[in-house]
Amino acid sequence: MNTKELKSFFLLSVGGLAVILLGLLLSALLVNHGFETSFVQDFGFYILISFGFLATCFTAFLYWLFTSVFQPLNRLADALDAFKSNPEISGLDSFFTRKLGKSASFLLKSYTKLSKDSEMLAQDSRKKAEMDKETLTSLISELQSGVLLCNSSFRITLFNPKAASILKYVERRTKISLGRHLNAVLDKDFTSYLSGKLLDTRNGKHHTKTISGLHYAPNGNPISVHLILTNPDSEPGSYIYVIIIRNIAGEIEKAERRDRDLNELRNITRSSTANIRAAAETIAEYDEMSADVKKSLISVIHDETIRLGEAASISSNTPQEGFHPAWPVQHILIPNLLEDVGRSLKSGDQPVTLELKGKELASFIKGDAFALTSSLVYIIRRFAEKADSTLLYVSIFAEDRLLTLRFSTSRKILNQDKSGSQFSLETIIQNQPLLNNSPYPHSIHYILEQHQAEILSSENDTEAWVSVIFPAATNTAETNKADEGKHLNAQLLKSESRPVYYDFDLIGQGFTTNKQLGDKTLKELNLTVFDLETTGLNPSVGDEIISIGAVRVVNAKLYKEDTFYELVKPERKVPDASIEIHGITNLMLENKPGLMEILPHFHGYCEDSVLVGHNVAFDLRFLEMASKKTSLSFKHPILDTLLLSSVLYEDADSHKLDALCKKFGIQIDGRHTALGDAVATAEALIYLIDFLASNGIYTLNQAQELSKKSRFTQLIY
Amino acid sequence: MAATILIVDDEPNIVISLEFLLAQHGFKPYVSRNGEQAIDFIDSNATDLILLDVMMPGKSGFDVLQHIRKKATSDQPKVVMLTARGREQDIKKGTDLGADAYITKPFSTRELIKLIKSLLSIEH
Repeated sequence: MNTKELKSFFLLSVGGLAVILLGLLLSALLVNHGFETSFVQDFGFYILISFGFLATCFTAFLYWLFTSVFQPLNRLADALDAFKSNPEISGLDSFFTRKLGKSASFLLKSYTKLSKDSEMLAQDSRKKAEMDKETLTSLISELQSGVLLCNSSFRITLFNPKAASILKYVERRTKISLGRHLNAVLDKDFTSYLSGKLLDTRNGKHHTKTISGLHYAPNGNPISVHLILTNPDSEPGSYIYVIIIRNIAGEIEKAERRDRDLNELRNITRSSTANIRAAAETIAEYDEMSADVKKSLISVIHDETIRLGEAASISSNTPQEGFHPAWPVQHILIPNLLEDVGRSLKSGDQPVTLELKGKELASFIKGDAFALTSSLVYIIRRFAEKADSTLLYVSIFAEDRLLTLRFSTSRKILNQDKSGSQFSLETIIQNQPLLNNSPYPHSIHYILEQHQAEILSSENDTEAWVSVIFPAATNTAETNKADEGKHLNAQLLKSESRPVYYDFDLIGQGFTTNKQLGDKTLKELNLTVFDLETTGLNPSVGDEIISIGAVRVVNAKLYKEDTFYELVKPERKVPDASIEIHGITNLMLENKPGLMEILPHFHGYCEDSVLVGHNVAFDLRFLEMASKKTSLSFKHPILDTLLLSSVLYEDADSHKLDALCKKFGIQIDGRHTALGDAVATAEALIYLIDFLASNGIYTLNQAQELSKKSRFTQLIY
Repeated sequence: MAATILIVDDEPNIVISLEFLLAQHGFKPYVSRNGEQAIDFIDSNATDLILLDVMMPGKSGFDVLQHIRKKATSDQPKVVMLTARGREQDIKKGTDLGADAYITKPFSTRELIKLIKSLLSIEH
């Protein structure tokens, strides 16, 4: 028994014995009606004997109760406590308690061993996962192709240095960064086309795992893009996409030079041979021709022979390596192409309906589906506009090795241009430098030329039409796969090893709509923390933005390499009082772009994110005033670190940014510069997110609700 | 009356032979060195047949052909495309736009004359 138990045992024994003694005495009293000397003399001995007997029985029973019931129960409680504190179980006095203690100790040891084993197993698994991750990242970092990994909502979760260099930052373009949407670095129409094709569920299943197309990098270089869905059998929310990109500017230039040379050679050969042949046949047939004519014809033969010799040198300058088309092409099934074109035509302000006339031919052409679809949509739209028709018929004709798509309308095209000549679609296309005014690097004319397609428009008494003639492709799906495989066989390059940028935690974060955004945890959200410097405090009397600084926080991590910082030239002078605060002088802003130029870039930077600022109402007021002059809208969800701080640290003397940063030990580099303040706010925000979580505030909705309790919500700018 | 034939080609070396040949066969040859000149000529002169090159600086042979076929005149000239561009889709485009024949360079002068005569329904 331990001390506590001994003390209880002693107290209970004494109490019990006293009760027995008292009981005996009272019994005797009841029998004799009082204590007389003779009574004590007569019965004292018997009382003593009875007390001794009862006391022994009681003590024995008590001892048994303690050692067999209370003590084991206490040991059991000790043993259970031992799981927490792990002490040696002591004081095992009886057989029962020793056995119980032994079992508890065994249980404890087994538990401890199991914990250790589990921890070791977990450690091993972590180590193995770490090694796998390192192998994967070093492999990806060495790839000659750019590799990006995206989660189901197309947020970037990994990219290698090659991808960063191909999509390298061009002034004011959104930079490639983890957690960003793929649309930030590649054209939105292009990525939605590719992903739409990939996830085409027309027949209830996916048609393909891979799709490719030609696109352009922010610096204008053409790039080939292959989008691969790695796990098509998973739930859509768990999809993982791999995007492989290659800069094909060099290859395209080489291929173009070769094509140009070959074409020139063919044309020269044909026309020179024609000239020589015609001259020779004429001389041979007409002996009696005048000396002058004969001389001219002989000189034609002479000149053309020299021309042919010179042409031969073109062919020797042409690169000798095998032909590898740089343009990522695939076999396109004509009905699929027309379906895509039809769908695009139906959307937009002026929908055009495409109706199939005649037989649907399941023929193939070879090309870039995105470029072709976009080009055809542009061509047909212009044609429909000119014909003032919203319904066009399409017929497919296949003859020899050609395939013609004929788009027709029963309306006549009467429009004439200024010079009086009739409408010519070919001329429009020739003069259309870019694809549908998009920043696509090639013109429609170029795209058609690359596809060896010819376009013609014409009309008769009953209808007007535009035809596009393609060389038909001899298709097999296998050749398609082989083409794709060729690009996917990425080669290892022995270059210096650099890190891969990844955050696999982002993979599990699924698709988010605005409605769902509020239920997302703050850690999951894409947060843009920003700050503005201005000419003064009151935008309604003409104060303006002169600097915008912003930084991103994704997965509660600060992405310092993905910042936004611009100085903006205002229309009014910066007053001295403001210069004293932020140090931005009028001279510094002299050659800077205006707000109308910068604002769309900032809008792009913070697209699809929650806007965060310290006393953000002030900054939003300026943004709101500025956005009125453009079609941009800053209707992002908002969080304010000032409001959060004022509720969380109600008793604090100050909730200014300096005070908040001091609380968390954050050093502000560049106080009162837009970027410096934005970064400091972001760092404070990360602490606040943790602190909010420890107070049961996890989601954006919860944080916004909490902010409403702040006394600073009354501030109006 | 001798049939009027317009040679449209920016290659002087083929023009010498064609001009001589056509004259020898009793035609009245005229020469335009580019598409614009050809359109001017056609708009102001009755022409029976046109030998039309495709690739020329400025307006192409296809542009000229389109111009001719869009004219609402009943006496449309015969058009023979005469070009070094020999892809199937070029030939298809030429015939779809209303060319009567499409000849790829190099060609036989004898065959050409035969074709011209047959298009103009002249006995050989």
